[in-house]
Amino acid sequence: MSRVNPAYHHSSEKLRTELEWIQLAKRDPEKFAPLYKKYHEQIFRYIYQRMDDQELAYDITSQVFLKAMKNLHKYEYRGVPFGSWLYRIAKSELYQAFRDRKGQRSISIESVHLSSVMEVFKDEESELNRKKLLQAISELKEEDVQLIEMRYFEQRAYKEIGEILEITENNAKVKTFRALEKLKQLFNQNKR
Amino acid sequence: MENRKINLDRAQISSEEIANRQDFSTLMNAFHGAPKPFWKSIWFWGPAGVASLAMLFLSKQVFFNNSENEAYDNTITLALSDIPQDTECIKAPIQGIDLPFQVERINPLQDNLLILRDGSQVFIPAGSIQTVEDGLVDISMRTFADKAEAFVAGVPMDFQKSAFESAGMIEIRGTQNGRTVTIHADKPIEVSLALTKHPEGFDFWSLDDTSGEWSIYPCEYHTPASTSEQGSAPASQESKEMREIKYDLVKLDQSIEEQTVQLELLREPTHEEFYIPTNEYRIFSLNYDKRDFPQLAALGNIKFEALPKQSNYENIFRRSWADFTIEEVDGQYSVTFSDRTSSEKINVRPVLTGDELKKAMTRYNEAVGKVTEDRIAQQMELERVREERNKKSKLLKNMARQMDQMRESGVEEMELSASVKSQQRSFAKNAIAFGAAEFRTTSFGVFNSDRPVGYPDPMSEPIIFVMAGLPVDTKDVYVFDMKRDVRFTYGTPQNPLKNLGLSNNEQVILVLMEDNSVGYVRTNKKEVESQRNHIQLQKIPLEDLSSETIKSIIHEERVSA
Repeated sequence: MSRVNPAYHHSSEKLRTELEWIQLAKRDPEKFAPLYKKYHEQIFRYIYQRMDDQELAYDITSQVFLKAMKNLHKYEYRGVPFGSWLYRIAKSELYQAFRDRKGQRSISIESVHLSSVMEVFKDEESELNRKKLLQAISELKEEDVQLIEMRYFEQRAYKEIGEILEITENNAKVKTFRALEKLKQLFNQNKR
Repeated sequence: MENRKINLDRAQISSEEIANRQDFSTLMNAFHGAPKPFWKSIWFWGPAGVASLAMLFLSKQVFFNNSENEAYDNTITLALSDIPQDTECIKAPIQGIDLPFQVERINPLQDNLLILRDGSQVFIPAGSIQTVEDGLVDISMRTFADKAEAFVAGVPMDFQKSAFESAGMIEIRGTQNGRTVTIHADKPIEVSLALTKHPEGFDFWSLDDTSGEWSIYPCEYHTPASTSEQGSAPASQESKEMREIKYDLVKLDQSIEEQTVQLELLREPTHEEFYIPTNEYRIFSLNYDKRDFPQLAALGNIKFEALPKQSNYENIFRRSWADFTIEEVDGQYSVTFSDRTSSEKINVRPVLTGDELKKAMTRYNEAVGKVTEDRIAQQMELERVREERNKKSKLLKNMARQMDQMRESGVEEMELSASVKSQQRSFAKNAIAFGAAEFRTTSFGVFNSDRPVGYPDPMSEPIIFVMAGLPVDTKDVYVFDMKRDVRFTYGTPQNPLKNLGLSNNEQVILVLMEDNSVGYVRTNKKEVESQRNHIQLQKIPLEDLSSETIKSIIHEERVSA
């Protein structure tokens, strides 16, 4: 659970290099290539994590970068990785695709992550409990799923979650805690 | 329940597979082919643009019809009386006496070659003068043949702790209906200033009209000797393009220098400036009296961080102290801990905590981002200018090589471009005794071929000026050194009268009195010292005060032909 997501955590030197790429790309779109190369996989995984259709996930990823290039002049550096801005575009594009019924929302979970949640709940890790937990997850509201997904299934830092959802780090912590409480509540209800 | 599917342990896609799907060129094609908003399309701007142009054309026909019928008279009108108002630093020292300008009325839409009395030339290309309204423009010019004329006109001739010896000076101004006009930044005017001395050892300068300070200005000296030299591409045979490139190179060098300095000045903000802690192991709290340090209290909840490299830090915090005092000197804080037996002093700085620290971090990050953005923009601009300079430098070398080859093959006259020939014709008239200083400028002003001459040491005893047997109240004193051909000015803030010094060369001292009368004397240091530093002045009668009188008193022998 305490694993650090290296793709997110940037040294100030890396942030500066990234900022240089952005400045260059603002003047010459061809110079966007290093940013594309750096973030393509992350953005694709973020999208594919939330949908089933792999090809559609690639298409949406391309849309995200196209939109980023078009709006790069609006981008302002705020001391956080460029990726956070891309994630926000990705989130917006993803939900637009769902609204347009181009894809279906899905939640991808690895068994190991379920175990982590069970650990947090201090409950026994049995097949039955796993099923109940999956049931509880599917019953959660979308905004709560997003938080659980990012924190427990994608191992994102609260700071990064805050940046993607455009809320403060503290608020991300509070909201994630509440989402977890709700999940626990649903899980316990299903146990009965 | 939301309509969503759960995938448990779905097969992972490898990084390689995802990387293989990267396609930046398709993305670029999509980017370039992305439809533009309607207002950016030709379908919007086509009709709108045509309509706008039509409106402009019609309005010009209606409102400016009269001015179009007026035929421009490109005949040069010579006048020697109209004098543009003196600028802040150019003030004729003697009231009512000034050096007249030669005023030429020109049509700024045509090329104009203006020739001054001494053979100097000013070439004003069509469209180089920026005017507020259509119509003719007055170009006022005067050259200064000697130190007497520079004195009469009131041109400041001091540079740092020296006075200028001049080998030729010109002042050029432009006005339209009494209003100052400017020169287009892309279309400089070209000047060929006839020199009054051989320019060896003389730099070229331009005067800052406001501050009265001189600064080095790019120019090419064309002396009779240099034009007859058979070395590589004599300056007078350079094509107009080559001269333009040389001028551009000087400007680009200046730009590179300025930008390099600016880049160095772009400093990253420090944590200290934002009260951000840097070493958590050196932070401590002090319950100080906020009334004593309102500037610290204003920061909010603060702690203190001990500055690095203080060996007594560990000792201080290993024990308890009975008391402490905070001291602040020029924004630097120190804390002295004390008890009955001893005291220890440590340098500290206030650091923020909690929400204030978070806000400070945000501000710091934004400041770093801003500086980084500025620095990158500056670096890119510097790179662009350097590239441009390299290109121009290569081009110039190629052109010089071609010219050398042409000369060697003896077809110089036949092959030289029309522009070179016209340039040669244009400046041939300046092949006078000492040649010419040729330069281009995009601003009116004073330009001078000068070399600085140091002021003489002040006299050991103060000088007392006497006229008709009585001491006089002097305002300004001008010492013209005949041998060194230079004017030393006293009575200014930089050179007060007490600094007055003389040499053993023949000198003319011209004194302006508080009552605006003028006296003079021809003397030298030895003579003055023999009269116990008393100088007898001869008064110039008011009715005799004229530019010619002053010049004859200074007895300047004109060096130019």
